[in-house]
Amino acid sequence: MTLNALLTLLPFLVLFIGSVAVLFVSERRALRFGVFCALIAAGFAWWPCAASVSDTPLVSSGPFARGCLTVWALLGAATCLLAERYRASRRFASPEFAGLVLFCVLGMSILSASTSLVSLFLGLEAMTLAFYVLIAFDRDNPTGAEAGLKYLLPGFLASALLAFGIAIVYAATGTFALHGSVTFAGGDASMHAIAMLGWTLIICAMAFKASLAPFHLWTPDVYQGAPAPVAGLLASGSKGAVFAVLLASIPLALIAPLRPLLAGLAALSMLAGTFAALPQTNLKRMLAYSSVVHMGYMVLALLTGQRAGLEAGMFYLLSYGAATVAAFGLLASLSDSSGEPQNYAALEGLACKSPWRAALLTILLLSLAGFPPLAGFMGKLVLFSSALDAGYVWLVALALFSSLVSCYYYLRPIVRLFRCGPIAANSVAANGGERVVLWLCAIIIVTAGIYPGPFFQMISAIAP
Amino acid sequence: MNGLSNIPWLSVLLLLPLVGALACLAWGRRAAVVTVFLESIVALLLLSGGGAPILSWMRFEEWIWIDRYGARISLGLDGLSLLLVWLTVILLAVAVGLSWPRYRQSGFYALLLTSCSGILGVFLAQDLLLFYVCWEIMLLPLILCIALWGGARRVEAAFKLLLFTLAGSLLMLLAFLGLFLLHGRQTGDYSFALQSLGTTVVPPELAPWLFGCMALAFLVKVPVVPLHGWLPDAYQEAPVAVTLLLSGVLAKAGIFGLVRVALPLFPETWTSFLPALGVLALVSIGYGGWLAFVQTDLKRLVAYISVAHLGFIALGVAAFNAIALQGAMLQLFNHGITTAALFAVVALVERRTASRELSELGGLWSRTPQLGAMLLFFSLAALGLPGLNIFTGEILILLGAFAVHPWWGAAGMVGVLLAACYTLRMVQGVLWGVPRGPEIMTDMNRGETLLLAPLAGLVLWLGVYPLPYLKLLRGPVERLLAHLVTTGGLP
Repeated sequence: MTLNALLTLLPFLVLFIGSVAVLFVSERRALRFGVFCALIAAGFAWWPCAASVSDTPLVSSGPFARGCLTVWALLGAATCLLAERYRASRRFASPEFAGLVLFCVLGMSILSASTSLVSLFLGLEAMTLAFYVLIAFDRDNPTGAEAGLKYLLPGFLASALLAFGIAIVYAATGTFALHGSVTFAGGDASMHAIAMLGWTLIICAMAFKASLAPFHLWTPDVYQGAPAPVAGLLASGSKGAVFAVLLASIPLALIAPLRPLLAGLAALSMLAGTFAALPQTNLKRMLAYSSVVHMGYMVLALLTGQRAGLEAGMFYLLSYGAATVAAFGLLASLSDSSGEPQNYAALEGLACKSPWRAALLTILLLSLAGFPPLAGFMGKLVLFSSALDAGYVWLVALALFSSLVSCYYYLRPIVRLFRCGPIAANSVAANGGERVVLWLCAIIIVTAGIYPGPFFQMISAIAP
Repeated sequence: MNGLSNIPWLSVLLLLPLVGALACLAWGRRAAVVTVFLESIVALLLLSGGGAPILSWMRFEEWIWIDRYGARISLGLDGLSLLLVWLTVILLAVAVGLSWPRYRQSGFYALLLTSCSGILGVFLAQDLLLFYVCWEIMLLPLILCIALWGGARRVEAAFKLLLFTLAGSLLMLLAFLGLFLLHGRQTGDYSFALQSLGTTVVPPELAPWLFGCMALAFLVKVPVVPLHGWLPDAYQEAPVAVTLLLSGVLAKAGIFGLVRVALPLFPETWTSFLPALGVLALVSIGYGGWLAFVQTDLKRLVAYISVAHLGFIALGVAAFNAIALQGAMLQLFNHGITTAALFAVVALVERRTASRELSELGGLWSRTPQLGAMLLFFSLAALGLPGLNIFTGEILILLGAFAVHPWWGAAGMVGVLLAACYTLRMVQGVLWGVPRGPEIMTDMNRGETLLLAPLAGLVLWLGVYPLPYLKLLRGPVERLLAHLVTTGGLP
């Protein structure tokens, strides 16, 4: 192994070694150690000068991969910070928790950096394996165990689909390299139809992970049962990583036959998610169904393809991810040993108990609903305008319709937040780590909404 | 004065309420009063001086915003926007003043101020993205106000308003995006600037769709009659400050958007749209008046009076000649003042009688003569009594309408007659007859007088001597007409 390759892999190594080393750290310090490792990895992603490192056959070291790694590492750090107090009230084993989070981040990083179908599979499985455990981490919570199982079974199916799809694509194109397996699957290839079958299976497996309808049925139960910090990571990081790899390395615009499939997935996700979210009275389940809708929007970016689609998609992921992490983090910060206040009824009157957190949740939900001047609006604007430019008028009209309806289910909890009745006295103060995460997310959401220029520049700087 | 003229006053005007809203959250509701005070000073300063006029603007300011998408923060002020800015600030002051004894939470004032910032942005924006953002900012805080501080059915009313207006504005966004992309493809210059988008060559099969999307958003906000479903509930359930802003300013934003955004972008389609607008306007006048006549709830009654008057304004826009347009633009201001004053009086009446039902009201004149006088005065203004402000606008509008389509003018006259019926019914029911309600009522206190007296003064001034205001409007009206002449729309 040359020094160059080592430098390329350094952040991955940090994450891996960290995830093992944290097991030997004391219960009290383990989460902080996890945060530290994640930050170090994020730092190492940028430390060696970009010109001096080269790609390995499996993972790329381009600025896009590094940028993604940084984001996932920060998400992992945020998860550990959010879990600090949450863990204390539930007697989680923190070394294992931190180790699994780091391992999960490692999986996401490999996934988003993958240049080959093999590393794609490896990354996805590493991430998913860690999630199987993390979701069911709270052993005392029966819904947690149920959620773990519900993630496990579709997860197996998705893995099988993915492996089978990869095998078929390899059979048709003779290569594992992502770029090659896309180009050799083109319309004039001898085994075009078989390659398309393989790609369809791969897309379906990805759709499971990104919870696109009709593969979304696990989402609400898993969100509801998983510990809130883990649900935040699952909702933002895992879906983000799947879309990052799809956006960056697979120019799906090249594979014309798959367009109807993707358009169908997008349309179905928007409709199914929207209508399922309407009657929800549980914040986590509502966020789950709304995430189905958001992922449907993300498919628009995929369909748009090109650079415009990639940049719009990444910006949208950023705005969605920040809002989602903060929303779940907020739930974590409000929960005590008796459980998380998931139901709207439990959140009623929050504004009187802790006005800042109520205001923050309002901002987050409004951003998800896409109200200007918040990041969600800018994200939708760039995403929809690029999709419109690519000619998907009906899908954009459908997306606008679903964002109209979405205002209803996002505003419902907001109205409850400010309805001050007889005050229940169970408001827990947020600790330092939670404050940092929540404030950072809020700042990102507001600045990316009001003055998104720097964010666009950053994204276009790392775009491949 | 030299140093003062270098300050970008329009941006200050726009940001001040936002800063005020934050200050409200931090230091309580007193900050709102300070903000309103400062804001009115800035609004008055706008009239004086200003740099060299650029492109016939009295003031023009531009900042870089989102380079990649060609969106800039560009604000332009001319006579029409100046009038509407004044109207906004006046109504904001009245709204804050009226809410002061009733609502103690600073959040309420913060939301009012935020909305005000959006409203001012709508009147000043010369960039479509900025316009859209402000369009949403002006609405959402008011909806939250309704949902949190409104009457018994507040949540329903708020959601109804939200869905109606948001459906419209999302369509508007779609149209803006379509236009943005078309323009970009044609010229390679991706920009949201209203000035440059006006030169886009829109394919004739696409133009009606884009125009229709925009027009729908604006007409919902006005609202003209088939699109007014949100209005009665929202006006009835909303706190009086919100009702006042909704009817006084947001409705104007709809008309303003029609003439300042939709017209310059689609001059050809505009000509074929005018007859339809005229018919809608007449329907609004008739239907609004008819419904006003049968209402028993005082607030709803005023709401429908407002619909009928907005119909007149729309009629003036539909007639689209110099005189009718001047009347319509002047009426934007007039109607804002009068309707706001009427809603304020209704709120004051309700505070004393604890009821808005006509059947439970009566004999107010003998017990609270000052309040009664105010109600009578503003009702007469709404009725179109010569010498008061609504008359000036209405007569100009009707004159203009006669010149274009005599039967429009004739049908409009029927509306004036109808106005006499429903207004006099209201006055009669509230002021005269058997005294009802609680035995002891106090007359207007000093604060309430202070709120209403300036409005009464304005009503009288505009009724007797509207010339300074008409002078302000001459330039903007000429420019509106020029849009059609240069592109060969009108004969």
